Amino acid sequence: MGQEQTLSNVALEILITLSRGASHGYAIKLDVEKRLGEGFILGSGSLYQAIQRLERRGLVAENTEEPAADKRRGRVYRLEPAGRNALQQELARFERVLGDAKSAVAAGRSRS
Amino acid sequence: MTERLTAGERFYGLLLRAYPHRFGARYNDDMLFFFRTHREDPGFSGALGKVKFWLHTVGDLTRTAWSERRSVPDDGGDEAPGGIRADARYAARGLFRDPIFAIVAVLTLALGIGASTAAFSVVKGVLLTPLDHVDPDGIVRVYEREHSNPNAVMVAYGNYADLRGQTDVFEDLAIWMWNSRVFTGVEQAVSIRARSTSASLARVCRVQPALGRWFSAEEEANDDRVVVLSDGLWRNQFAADPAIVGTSVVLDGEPYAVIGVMEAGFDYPFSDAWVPLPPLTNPQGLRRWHRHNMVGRLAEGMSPSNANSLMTDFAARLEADHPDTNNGNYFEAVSLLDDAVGTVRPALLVLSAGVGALLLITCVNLTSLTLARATSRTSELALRRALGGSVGRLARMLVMESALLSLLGGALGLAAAQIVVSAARVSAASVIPRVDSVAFDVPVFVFAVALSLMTGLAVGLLPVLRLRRQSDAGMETLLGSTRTSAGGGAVRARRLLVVAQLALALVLTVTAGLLVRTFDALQSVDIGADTSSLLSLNVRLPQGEEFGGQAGADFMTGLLERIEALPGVDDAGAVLTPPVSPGGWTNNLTMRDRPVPEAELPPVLYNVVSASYFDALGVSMLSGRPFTSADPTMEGPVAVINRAAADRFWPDGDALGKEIMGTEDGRLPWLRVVGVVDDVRQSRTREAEPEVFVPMAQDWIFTYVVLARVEREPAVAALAAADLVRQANPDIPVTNVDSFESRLGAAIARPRFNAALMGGFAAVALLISAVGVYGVLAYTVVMRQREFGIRVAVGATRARVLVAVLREAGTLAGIALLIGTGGAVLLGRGLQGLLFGVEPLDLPTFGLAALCLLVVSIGAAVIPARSALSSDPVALLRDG
Repeated sequence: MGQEQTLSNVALEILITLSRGASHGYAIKLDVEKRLGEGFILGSGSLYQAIQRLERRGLVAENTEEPAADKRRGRVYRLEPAGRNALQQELARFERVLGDAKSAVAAGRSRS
Repeated sequence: MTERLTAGERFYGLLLRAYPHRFGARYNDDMLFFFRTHREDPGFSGALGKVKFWLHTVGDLTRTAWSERRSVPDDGGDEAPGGIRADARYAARGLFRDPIFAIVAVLTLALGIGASTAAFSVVKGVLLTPLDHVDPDGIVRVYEREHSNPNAVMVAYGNYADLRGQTDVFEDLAIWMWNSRVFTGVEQAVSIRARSTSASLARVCRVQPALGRWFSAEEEANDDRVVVLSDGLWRNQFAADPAIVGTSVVLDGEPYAVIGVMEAGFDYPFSDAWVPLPPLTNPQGLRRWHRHNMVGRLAEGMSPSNANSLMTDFAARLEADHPDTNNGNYFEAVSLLDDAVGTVRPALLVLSAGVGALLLITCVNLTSLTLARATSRTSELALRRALGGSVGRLARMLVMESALLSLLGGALGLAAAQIVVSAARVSAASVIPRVDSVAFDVPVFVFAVALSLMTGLAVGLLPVLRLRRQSDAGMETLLGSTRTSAGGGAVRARRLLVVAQLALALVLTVTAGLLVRTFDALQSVDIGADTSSLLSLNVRLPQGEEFGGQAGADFMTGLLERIEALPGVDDAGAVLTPPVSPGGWTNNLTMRDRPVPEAELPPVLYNVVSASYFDALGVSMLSGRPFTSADPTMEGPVAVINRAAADRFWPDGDALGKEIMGTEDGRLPWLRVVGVVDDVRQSRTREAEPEVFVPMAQDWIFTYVVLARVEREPAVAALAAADLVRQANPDIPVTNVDSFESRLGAAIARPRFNAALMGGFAAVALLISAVGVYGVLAYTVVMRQREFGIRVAVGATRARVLVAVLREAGTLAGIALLIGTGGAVLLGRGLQGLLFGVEPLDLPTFGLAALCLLVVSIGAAVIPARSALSSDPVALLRDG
């Protein structure tokens, strides 16, 4: 596995949610769904699969300092420094892609 | 986790097992929390929401679990690399490649599993008396029976006391009476089921009060005025007041000290409260009055049959000691569950058989589908085998496929069953008694899933067995084209299976039809009176001098007059036992001019009515006169008999003026027959039986049903009448305020329930069978596409191709019709006990069921037939 791993869509959304502060699983789901709008449902399997991969890569971690206020909702996750880093890299990549795409489209238009 | 999981949570937990071990260990708990919150999401409310939720959840889990298993280096769960993971992947791909098969199989499973689970849950909840909170092991109902009277069940107090001494048989015994009491002192009096019971009931049922205490043997012996409330009564009438213990309540006009509140859920025997049943002291009645119900807890290691043989000896000793009272009496212990099942056994058997048939159809359909698929895959498997795939490996792949299908079908079935169960709870509440106790039945669900899984596995492995046989001929098979016309044993086997399920579906449809006709017949029985515009309500007078005999009659007469004065009300009458109602009183008919030995006296129904009753019901006097409010003071004790009694006992028409019901020793007065009324049935299923009516003032009756003829909306008028009663005396509870029709409707709720449930079975069975017919024909058409193409090419009209496909459907249905009709005829006899007004071999029912079957089969053939028509002969020939 290369270090330049890209993030899946769900993983990216989770990082975005956690960049605002630590959160537990169901709260992450609600936040992501709110952002992505009506019709998108983040299931338990997809969510925890993504969390597991993020954890394994050290991008998020269980927030043990601040035990969950409501134990019944499960573990609380926070963004690790590496995670913030990855998020920024990903956003930078998006901007690069976006810039490339814009200039390509502009070039195509001028040619025709 | 120690808490109890719901069925849904357990199923979700099962799905979580699909993840690698390490993943599960870390996230399972979190995911369960997630699941619980998610399920409560308002977006998933209602039946459709539930389906959406489960579809999404199962889809999400299976997808991610797979990718997880694929991507994670294995963590000790599975064996060889590329083992199960790869097989599962192949299986999933295979299913996606063949969506018709996958969808049809999953739908079949979902319907079969869902319908049978839901149906059995409902049957169990409704027909089996829920024995909430009573540990039924070791508890028995004990009946005192008489050789001379098969209906005798009640126990005499003296025999109970003696039997309680038989500690080798019973750990303890308890008795109770089915009485209720008027609870006053609240805004509006209510009738509560305050059972008189021995103190031993709590010990026999092994229950404890949640608050306060149960009454002691001393309180029982002293006939103390103490009461233990049920949890339900405590919550409904006393707002769950924790300080209730120590206060006092008024029951039947007497103060009772509240000493305890029972633990929630315990209400045996259908009680709101329990008061001590004092020992019987009257030596006359000690062994003569059979008035008590008895329940006992068997001694350690004792079975009901052991107890019965021991009690035979005991009864013989009692008979020797008390020959005048215990002659021919014996005891019978029946386990509480058997006792509950006893009365509904015929219905339970038939409905369970229906569930079984449905599951069978499901499995047969699955078999047929899998077989069809196996046939079409022979060459694929042969190829895999030729390329070095081991038979074991191929088998595993097929097994995986079946497992996957069962899982998906099970998930959908679970959703469907839960929807049906909750829908039944809501919609049928007024129709089916105790429907609120219906709970989703997990064992049945697991059984249904396991059965379909095993079927899938067994059938899925068939092609592998074939592979093994022809492993040498593998290349041959491989070289043979898949497109040769489908032939051989497999096709015959599939047709056979389709015929089998159609035949079963026909049997179910016939059964449903017969039950529907039974219900219809019951509903349209002419009971002898027009009940359509009658209101009805139950009135329970406080027991005592104040409302006894003439005083009670005067009160009731006043009440009826006020009800008659209501706008839109014509005649109002009161009666002890209204028409077509169970629980009528029976007395022996004595005739003064025809003395008969006591043992040979004929039993007649005995009823107490107001003077206005016959008018209100609209029953005509055939001769003589009805009662007047002056009876019996004017001419002494009188009686009116019905036509059945007059015809049976005075066939010469000389009943008027005869003296009946009395005894020569003067213990009972002689009643003079003053009138004969026309018959009104006492039961829907039987002709009117001989009945003797007496006026209210002549007996001491405290419970009456008021019936009044109204111009419109009897249910609404009943409310107004109930208000009148309450105004007249707030201490009189009024219950069952409704139209008389709906009261009668409740009495035939069970036949209606049987018919509805069996109708549902039949519908689902027909649907699954249609799916089966469709599956087989669709495959046949695909296999014969080339043949059809050639036919069209050489000049066959499209109509002839169409006919060829439809004829196959028709043939299958025809054979199924013969077999199914035979089966239904044979099974019809078993239905006899549930039927009324229709013969087990009812021709219209059989005809209609056959028509249904034909329509469904031909209908299922339409889509395959259309696709056969649309085959392009040129393309087919070129490709072929």
